[in-house]
Amino acid sequence: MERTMADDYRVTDPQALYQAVGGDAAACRVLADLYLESAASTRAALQLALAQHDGAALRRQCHALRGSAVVLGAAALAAQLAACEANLAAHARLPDAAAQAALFALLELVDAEVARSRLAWGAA
Amino acid sequence: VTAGARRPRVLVVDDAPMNRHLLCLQLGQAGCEAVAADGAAAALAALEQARFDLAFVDLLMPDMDGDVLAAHLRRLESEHGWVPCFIVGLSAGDGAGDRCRALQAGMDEFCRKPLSAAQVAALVRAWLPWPV
Repeated sequence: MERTMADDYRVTDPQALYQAVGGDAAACRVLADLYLESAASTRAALQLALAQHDGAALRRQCHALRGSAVVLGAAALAAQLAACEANLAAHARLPDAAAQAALFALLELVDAEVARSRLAWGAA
Repeated sequence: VTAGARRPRVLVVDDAPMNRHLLCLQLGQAGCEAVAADGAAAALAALEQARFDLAFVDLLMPDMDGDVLAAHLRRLESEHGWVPCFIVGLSAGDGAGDRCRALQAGMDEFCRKPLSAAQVAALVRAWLPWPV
């Protein structure tokens, strides 16, 4: 069976991004760059909000990151962020240590796949 | 200058850079001139400079929620006699009340993010008073 770009991605869907921009690989590169440029500061903002037990800031960060996640077709990340937002909204409850670890692990996978898809768009 | 002689001017208000940039790209592909604002304050500043045919407004933003901004824009239109701008509310969330909240604030349409290029083109065709 012929391998497609989607076969190499487990936590993102580059095809979703490609379709969203009407099949414009250059636009995909720009958007991937935008995501990657802010990845470190996003992670730092999440960690700061958690360290300070700042639920409002964490909810804002989760919401903003979820916007990027859905654009990237990162469904699992979007779902984790949505759950975090919902818990904060309903119970003012920060994610526990296990949920935090899972979130950051998934974020790392997403970042790596976006970096890889960025290279693939570059070659397109 | 008739309406058909210029590109539709569209305001994109979203605090998330990736979503904002994606929508501006899609609007460019749909033949529009997109102006980006990273929040309500920037949107209000843009409205002081120009009128827009259409606006896409994120519902949840740090400085002012999109529904509050839309209600404010409607008041400005009424006070100044501006031609009403069609407003599309956006949210990446799955809150059941989002559509209701958007429409109650005076928005004309509500959509979940992200929009596809085809959806953006269809919205532009549907809400602008002249063909693009």
